[in-house]
Amino acid sequence: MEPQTGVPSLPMPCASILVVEDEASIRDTLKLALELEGYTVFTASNGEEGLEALRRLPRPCLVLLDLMMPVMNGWEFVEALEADTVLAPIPVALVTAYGERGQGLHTKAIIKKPIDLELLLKVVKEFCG
Amino acid sequence: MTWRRGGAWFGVALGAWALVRLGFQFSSSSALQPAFWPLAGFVQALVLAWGAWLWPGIALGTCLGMLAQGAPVGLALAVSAINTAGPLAGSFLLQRSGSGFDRRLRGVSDLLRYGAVCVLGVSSGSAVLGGLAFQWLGVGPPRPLLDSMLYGFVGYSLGHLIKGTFLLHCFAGGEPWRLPRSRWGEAWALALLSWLFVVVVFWNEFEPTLHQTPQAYGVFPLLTWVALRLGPAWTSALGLAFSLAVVVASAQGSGPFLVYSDGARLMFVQLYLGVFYGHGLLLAVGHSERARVLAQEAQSKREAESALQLRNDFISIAAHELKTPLTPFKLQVQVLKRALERQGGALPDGSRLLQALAVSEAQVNRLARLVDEMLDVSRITEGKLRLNPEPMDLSLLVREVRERFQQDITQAGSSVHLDLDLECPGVWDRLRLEQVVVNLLSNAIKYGRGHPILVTLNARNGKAVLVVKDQGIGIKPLDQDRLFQRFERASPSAKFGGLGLGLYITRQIVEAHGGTICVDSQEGVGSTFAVELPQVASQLDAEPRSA
Repeated sequence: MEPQTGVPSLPMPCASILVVEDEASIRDTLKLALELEGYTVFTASNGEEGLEALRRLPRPCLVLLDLMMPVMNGWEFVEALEADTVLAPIPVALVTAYGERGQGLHTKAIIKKPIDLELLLKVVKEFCG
Repeated sequence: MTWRRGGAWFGVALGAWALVRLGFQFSSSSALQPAFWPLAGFVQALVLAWGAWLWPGIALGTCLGMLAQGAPVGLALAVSAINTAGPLAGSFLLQRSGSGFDRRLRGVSDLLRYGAVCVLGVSSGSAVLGGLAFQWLGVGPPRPLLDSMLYGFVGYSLGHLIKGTFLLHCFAGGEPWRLPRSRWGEAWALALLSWLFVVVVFWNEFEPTLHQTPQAYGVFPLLTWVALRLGPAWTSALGLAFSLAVVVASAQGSGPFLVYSDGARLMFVQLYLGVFYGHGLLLAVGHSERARVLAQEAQSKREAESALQLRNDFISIAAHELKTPLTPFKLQVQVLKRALERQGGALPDGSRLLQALAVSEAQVNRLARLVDEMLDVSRITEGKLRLNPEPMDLSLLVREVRERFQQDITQAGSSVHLDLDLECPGVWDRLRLEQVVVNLLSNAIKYGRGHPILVTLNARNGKAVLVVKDQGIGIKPLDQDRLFQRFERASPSAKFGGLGLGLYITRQIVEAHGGTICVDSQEGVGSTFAVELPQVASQLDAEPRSA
């Protein structure tokens, strides 16, 4: 999970975002879409990898989190995050097909799949500038 | 003639002989037409429960019983013929009285049919023939023919009503006597109360008057309690015991029915018992039938709710699964659109465009596969899944599918080892078998936890055996039974996606080819799926198998 330079078409601040999503096609497309907007994107394929990434890499301005994942799902990830005093302040936005199932979680936003790019960028800009 | 049949005839003959003698014990004179005829219900119940083949035993026992009472041979033969033909006719008429006569008398309609055919019909016929026989042979008590017939009718009908229904509960199968433990105390209390009632009302020393006759009907609350709480079988048992006690008491000169003359006493006792017993049994059967109907309705409602929940769960999962390929597809389109807008309509560089289109195409294909899966289920359910068998090599197919999944295998951190016959020829539907191989391999990759997967394929004795073995999360024993059912998933839905249709469709395809599929799995260790296919498909059409 190494940061890669994106290809921004406009000068933007280089804030980092962590995408936690098990579906490779969604993960790669989100990474591409955000890098094109000038963001640095890290990825993880399940909640456990996501927590490891948060502990090892520079703190991201936002975590985009899927709910249904193997090994550690989205609910378990949020629970572990909230239990860690260092990681708890990191804002999390859900990206899920099950919008209603995420409503009990303490996350900053819920973005429903299939993702509306404008809405996604609006949420990202709110936390990452 | 087998020993068993002979033994049954002997037993029935002995019973009939004894009951004929018992009936005459309660006769108030030496007349050969007793008021109390316990044989009637006994033989009817036997014929209904075990069949008409018992008739030799019935005829012999009745004839010998009558002869033992001093009846002339002609009368003995006539009574024997009437008491043999009557039950046979009753059984015949009941079988033809409409669909589904339940000889256990579980429903009100069964009880009413039995009442109409046996209690009224057979009893009337037997009473008329019996009266005519007495008249013609010049024997029997000195009474008018109609009185004689009425006398006979009361005896026959009460025999059918009381003993017949009780014996049907004993002989006709099922578990009518089963009582929950919580009701045993209640049953004993009711039995004791009934006995006390008989002792107080029927075995007393009081001078009987007409005013005391209604006291006999004081047993009805007890009877109602038994009918509602203990069921039809125990109601019939109480009724029989109560009836015997009342008949014995009255015959021995005790109880409120003493106000009636000697000849009429047993008639009125039997009429009273008929009302008592008929009321109790009808109430018990009606209540029991209603309880069964309510239980069946509750069960149907639970099954419908469960099916509805299953459908709702499936729709929810299907929506998620369909949104999964739509998401990258839509994102790619939006990213391209945004890039075009920024560059004033100029196309982005070729490699970027190709990559975006490749991703989009892959997601559209995935979407199409999901839709096909759902349509397959619909076709299978309607019996419209048709196979197109052709000569093909299954080893080649397995290799091709493995190649296609190389990227998924690498991403999962897994490896797939093939141990295949060089060639595995057969006549199968290529597209459908590809579905089977794809489904089994993709499951092994998905649930395999990144451990190696082994795929073996061998042909022996005209059968091709394909085995896919992983070292993944495994399947619980309870889930293995329902794994191949529609919409069932053995993996937790919060961790793994999937419609729950893959293995159902796989099984349908395999069985449509005349093959079998089974699983051997241990939770936390891994799963082995084995498919056995005849090398020439024995069935060409897929009839929906039970899910």
